[in-house]
Amino acid sequence: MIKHYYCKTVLLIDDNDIDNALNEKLIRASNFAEHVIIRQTAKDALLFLKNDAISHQIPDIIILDITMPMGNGFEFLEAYEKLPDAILNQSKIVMLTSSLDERDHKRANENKLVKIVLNKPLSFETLEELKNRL
Amino acid sequence: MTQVSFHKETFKYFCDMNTTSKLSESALRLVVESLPVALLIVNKEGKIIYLNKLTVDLFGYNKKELTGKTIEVLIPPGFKESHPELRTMFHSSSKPRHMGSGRELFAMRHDGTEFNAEVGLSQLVTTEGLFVLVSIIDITERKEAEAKLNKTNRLYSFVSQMKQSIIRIKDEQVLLEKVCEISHNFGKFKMTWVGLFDEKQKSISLLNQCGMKEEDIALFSKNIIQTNGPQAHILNTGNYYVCNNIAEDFKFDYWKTFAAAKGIRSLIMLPIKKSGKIIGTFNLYSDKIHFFDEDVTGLLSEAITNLSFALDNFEKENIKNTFEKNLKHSELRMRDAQEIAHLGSWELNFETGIALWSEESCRIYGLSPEDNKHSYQVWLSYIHPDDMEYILKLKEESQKTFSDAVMFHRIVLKDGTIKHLNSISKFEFDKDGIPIGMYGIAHDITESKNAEDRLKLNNAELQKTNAELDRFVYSISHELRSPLTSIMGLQPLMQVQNLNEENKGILNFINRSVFKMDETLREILDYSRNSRNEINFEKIDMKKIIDEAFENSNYYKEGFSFDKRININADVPFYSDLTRVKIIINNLVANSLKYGKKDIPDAFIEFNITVDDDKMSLEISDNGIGIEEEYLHKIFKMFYRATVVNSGSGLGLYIVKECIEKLNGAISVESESGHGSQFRIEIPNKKPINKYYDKALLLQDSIVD
Repeated sequence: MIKHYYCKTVLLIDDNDIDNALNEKLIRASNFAEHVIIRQTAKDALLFLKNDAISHQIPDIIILDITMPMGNGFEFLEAYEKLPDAILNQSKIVMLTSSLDERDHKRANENKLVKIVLNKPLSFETLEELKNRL
Repeated sequence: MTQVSFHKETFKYFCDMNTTSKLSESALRLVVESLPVALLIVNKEGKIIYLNKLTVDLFGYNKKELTGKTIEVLIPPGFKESHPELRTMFHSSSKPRHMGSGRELFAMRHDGTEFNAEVGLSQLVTTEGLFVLVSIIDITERKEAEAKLNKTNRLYSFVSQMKQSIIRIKDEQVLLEKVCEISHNFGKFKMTWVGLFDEKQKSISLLNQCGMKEEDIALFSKNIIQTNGPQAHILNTGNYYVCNNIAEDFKFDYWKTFAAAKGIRSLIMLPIKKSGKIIGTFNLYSDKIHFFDEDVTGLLSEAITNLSFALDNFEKENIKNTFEKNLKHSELRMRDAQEIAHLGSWELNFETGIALWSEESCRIYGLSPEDNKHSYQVWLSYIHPDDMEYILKLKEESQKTFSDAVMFHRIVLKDGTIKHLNSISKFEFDKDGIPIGMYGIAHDITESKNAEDRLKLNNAELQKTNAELDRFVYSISHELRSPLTSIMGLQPLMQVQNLNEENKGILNFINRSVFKMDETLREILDYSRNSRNEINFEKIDMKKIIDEAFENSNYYKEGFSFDKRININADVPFYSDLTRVKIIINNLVANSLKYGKKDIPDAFIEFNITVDDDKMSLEISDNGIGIEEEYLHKIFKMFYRATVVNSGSGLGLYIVKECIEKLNGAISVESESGHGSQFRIEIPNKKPINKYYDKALLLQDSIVD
């Protein structure tokens, strides 16, 4: 059986390994993406984008957590903005957070790099919604 | 013997002419010989035909040597050449003549020396013809006395002018300049100048001069003091310097030519002192040698002393003026300061019963600065009615013992404004200790009082908010833990063996999440406990606490194998707050376990503990994953996490630090990423010496707080 994926590659950036496992399962189960790449810190994610992704695997969608140790989601965005256009043009950023703080949501929505802001947990419904909105 | 007969005849003539009673010739001769006047008789040809004994004494010739010589032999060159003609003229007139008074006449001795003389001439008409009777008086001494009197008069005139100037002139510079002028005009000195030393007395500069040639002024304008020179002498000794014959003084070799050219033959240099310090010199030059004798130097010294006295007075006046100026300045400053500080002052005189209020006092009470004299009753009328009783009571007490009164009260201004004041009053006593008045301040503290009230209100609100927040955190943690414990209780009941592998995995994730939440809630409760609970000191068994910390740790239960080393070196028991020490140890142990390397055989956690009278020192070392240096300084911050491994809440070390601070302890950390960490803590040992002492200590602490 040939699977039809919504997109080729998703990059998950989240320090919480349980969330990462859950989200990976959901993405695979819903045929959202063919490849799921996971990085637990903003720093590692940036390294991946700079070094590996540029050559063969620029993610189509980046799902980014806000609250992370050693550089949060907003700090990631600041560094991300300076990456090559090839990446900026291809990757669409979705912010995914457990934060209920309106200030976080407002700040995320105001960032022009961020396409959509979602509340945790991720679900089949939200992934379907993503397909429609992106 | 013509001469003899002449004598006889002449004396006979005398006897006949001038005496009524007949004197004998021998008696008359005796009179003439003993006259204190040199007497000579000269004939028509100018030849001396008679001289008395005094003539011999005065001129140093004997009688024979002079007899028969012309009179010109006694006249010095310069005069004698024209004398014969004058003599002839006199012979032809017939009036007696008195010479030498009012003008200088000179006579010459046998040895050629000259002297001032007064000469009288009378014609003698005798039977033997016309003769001239010459009387000569040596007036050398009189002339000298006259000269001296003249000199003294000049000097007195100079000194007197100086005194007048000192009285009249009120400026140092003007006086010093005037001194030169006076000395030149009245003292008739050839040249005078006043010089002032520089601050270090290395050079002297010309202030003023008189009698100096225009082209010479530059020579005096500024000169370096020569080590052995006269100016240095004055500086070294404080005395005047005199040279009475410049031409003969080797010290002035360098100056002789100049002095001679200017007609200067002697000099004096006098120190000008001010407040005991030599500030300059007064220099006088005379055209006579030996001018500066004892009398002159005495007079000049007196004059210069008067001058110095005047300078001292100027200085005193200056100081007084400066002082008055400063006082005035201080008063202005005081007024400004009072205005800035809203602090007024007042003085009450008991005799008049009226207090004088400062400008700011008037302003505080809403009065114009001119309306500044008020009685006690007026002041009382401003007191806020609610504070009146308090004020009167304080005043009464203060008056009983004449002690200071410090009052915090309100006043009501005429426009209804209410102000808060801090008023302080003190009594003023005379030398016998009898109170003569009062003085004090009025400090407008309305603004600070309002700010203080606001602050109190804010503080109370803050305390309330804080307490509420603490209660909220505490309650919510419990409320959250309650359903969580239910989940934790249900989990073991789940039929795990009936689940497929995927569901088992999911269940594990659920358990881990529940577990982490429980951990975070416990941490929040610890935090809340640290901020809410009182500190209670009790004896603590560190080993027991460490062991318990391991037992409580979920990570310990996971079966992670490591070497637990505990070294305790305690001579005395450790007293501290058990709750907080437990929180500290639990967290540090949990961290070491959490971040230990599970895959190495020689994993260890080592505790080195030392307890002494002052403190408990603890070192916890492990060979776990360590902390990267760039995050090391942030690890004690609230919610800071330096790793994603075993994601914690970021509260643990923050709570540890908070607890240690509460116990007045300290914590530090060293770590090498990948190799392990070492935490060092020190907590004061609050060992009670005895119960009462301990209580006293606590009491003292609370007072200090």
